[in-house]
Amino acid sequence: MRACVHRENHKSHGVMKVKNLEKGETSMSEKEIIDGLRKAVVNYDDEGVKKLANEVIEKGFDPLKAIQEGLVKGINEVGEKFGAKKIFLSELMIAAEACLAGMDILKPQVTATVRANVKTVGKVVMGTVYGDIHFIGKNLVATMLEANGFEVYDIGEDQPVEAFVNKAKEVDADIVGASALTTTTRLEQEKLVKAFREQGLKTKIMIGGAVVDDAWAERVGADGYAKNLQEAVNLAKQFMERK
Amino acid sequence: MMTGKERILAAFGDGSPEDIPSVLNYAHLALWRGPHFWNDFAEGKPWWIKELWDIPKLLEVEETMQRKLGTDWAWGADICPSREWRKNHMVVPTSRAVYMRDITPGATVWQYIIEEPPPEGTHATYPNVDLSGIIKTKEDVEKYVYVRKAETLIEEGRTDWVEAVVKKFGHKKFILSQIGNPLEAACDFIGPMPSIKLFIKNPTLLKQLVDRTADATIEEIKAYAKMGTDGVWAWEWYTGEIISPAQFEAIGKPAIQRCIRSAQQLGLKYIFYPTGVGKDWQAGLESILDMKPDGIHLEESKKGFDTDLSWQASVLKAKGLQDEITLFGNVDSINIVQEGTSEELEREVKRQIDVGRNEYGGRFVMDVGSPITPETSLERLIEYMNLVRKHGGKR
Repeated sequence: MRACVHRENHKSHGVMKVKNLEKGETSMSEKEIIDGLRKAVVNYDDEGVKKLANEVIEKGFDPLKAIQEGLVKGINEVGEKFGAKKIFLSELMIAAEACLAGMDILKPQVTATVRANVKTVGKVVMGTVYGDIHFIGKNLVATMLEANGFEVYDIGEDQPVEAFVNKAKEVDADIVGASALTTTTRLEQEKLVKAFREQGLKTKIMIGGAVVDDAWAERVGADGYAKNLQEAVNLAKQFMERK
Repeated sequence: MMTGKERILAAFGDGSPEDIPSVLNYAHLALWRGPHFWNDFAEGKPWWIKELWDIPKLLEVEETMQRKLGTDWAWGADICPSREWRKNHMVVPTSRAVYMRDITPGATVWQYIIEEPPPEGTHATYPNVDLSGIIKTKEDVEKYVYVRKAETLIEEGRTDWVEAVVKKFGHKKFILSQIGNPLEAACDFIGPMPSIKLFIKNPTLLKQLVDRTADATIEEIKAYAKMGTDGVWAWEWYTGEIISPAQFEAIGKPAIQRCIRSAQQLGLKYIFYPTGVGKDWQAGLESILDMKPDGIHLEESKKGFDTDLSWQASVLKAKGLQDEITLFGNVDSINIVQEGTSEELEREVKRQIDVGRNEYGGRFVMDVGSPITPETSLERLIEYMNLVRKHGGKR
């Protein structure tokens, strides 16, 4: 890094940005900022993420690159640590929050042209089934999917089958994710699959939650079961690749 | 012939353990909140008597359930709505809907629809509210987290259900009441997500909140003790993959320790049910065991965590706690009780009793790991209970 006084002319997605740096101010390179974003997510530093995300915009750096190589890389690293039981949910949640805070700042800066050129990986409707109000796992899966390029529609908790069906139809969803955390509510997943099949919808259905497994997914006719966050992301990606 | 109460007390070391006690945790979830089991036990009584807290009728349901299942405890002798609330509410069933009517003079909302639980049953809920923006200081904690004194709980009639259950079943059954564990209770005030975040963002405030909810829990414990309850059941979900053992040790343990001591000083058994605790969280389990609750109950092994009963027994024994803490069984309520063949069920019941008696030394209560599922039939539960009696009878 070097201290400098200069004019920066960055052409970023058709937007010309000019930045005057005062004497003595330290300028971080794009690479350093993006790596800083990754590190800030990994270190659960939401304030750091916000600061760096704003810097990406101020300096006219590529917001999409910052999302993909900074925020997403960071949250995936954290997700892997969680999957390996090296960190706990409290830490994962703060990291996810930091990642989303950065997304909120950077996403609107990704221009329409760029958005049009970057294909959404897929559309996912997420929810917790009727009678079940657990949401932590569902929210985290939604965050991870979003971070990995999916367009996520979170319909919330305690949602009847019709709510999943209606939302999937409305947004033309590729995937539906249904979470059930209690022994008394997993039957709703079976009803959900049945409803989608009866209506001839081709939406892939993945299920998750502490009381379900592969055997249950097979029994109720779901397209897949994800044991953890990373598996959920991988499964969703597999569904899209097979399309 | 020992009564159920004597069996359980013997398993807690108050006497000579001969028969293995047999219980079902969270009986009210599947048994009371879904029509399938309700029909088995209510003998034609309408479902809404639960909503109204019609104590005499609910006692009849409980009695039928006890007669048909014969568990050794009466689960859920808990705090109920106040006498005033019960007096001022009535149910009006119509052909279109069932209405709960509030006849309190000047009530703002005087009538609302109540619905029968779905066939698969419902489960206990906690308020999913976010007060994190309101509770920011110790003063806020004291202002918003209300501690209702034991005397007030009793005066207001909130312990009427406990009193009725104790009177009806207390001579033969172990009466168990649920309490809000301090960490879990924190959810009620600032919501689950914000409270989890506080572990990292503001542990000092969280600790103040948890200390305050412990004060409220202790008052509940005092009220239960006055009513004649035998033990309290403390569920905690801020364990396992949710927080680290170090976070539990720093924030949860001091407050929970106070609750345990309070119960024990009043002669109540404190049964701790932390969820998600398996081999990966052994340091946390050891931290829990250091508090010396009277009983420890871990869920069955599930996705991502292994809670094998033999492993539990070995952890407790390694700490020299086999004469101080009672171990609870954790038969898999889905894969064994609901789905397993009769042979698989018998094998697992026998195995767990063997672990409890021979590996652990006898301080053991047979139970399922998680609430019984609505898909399980009454006949299957009776089969399970009979197997425990068969293999857990006198040596």
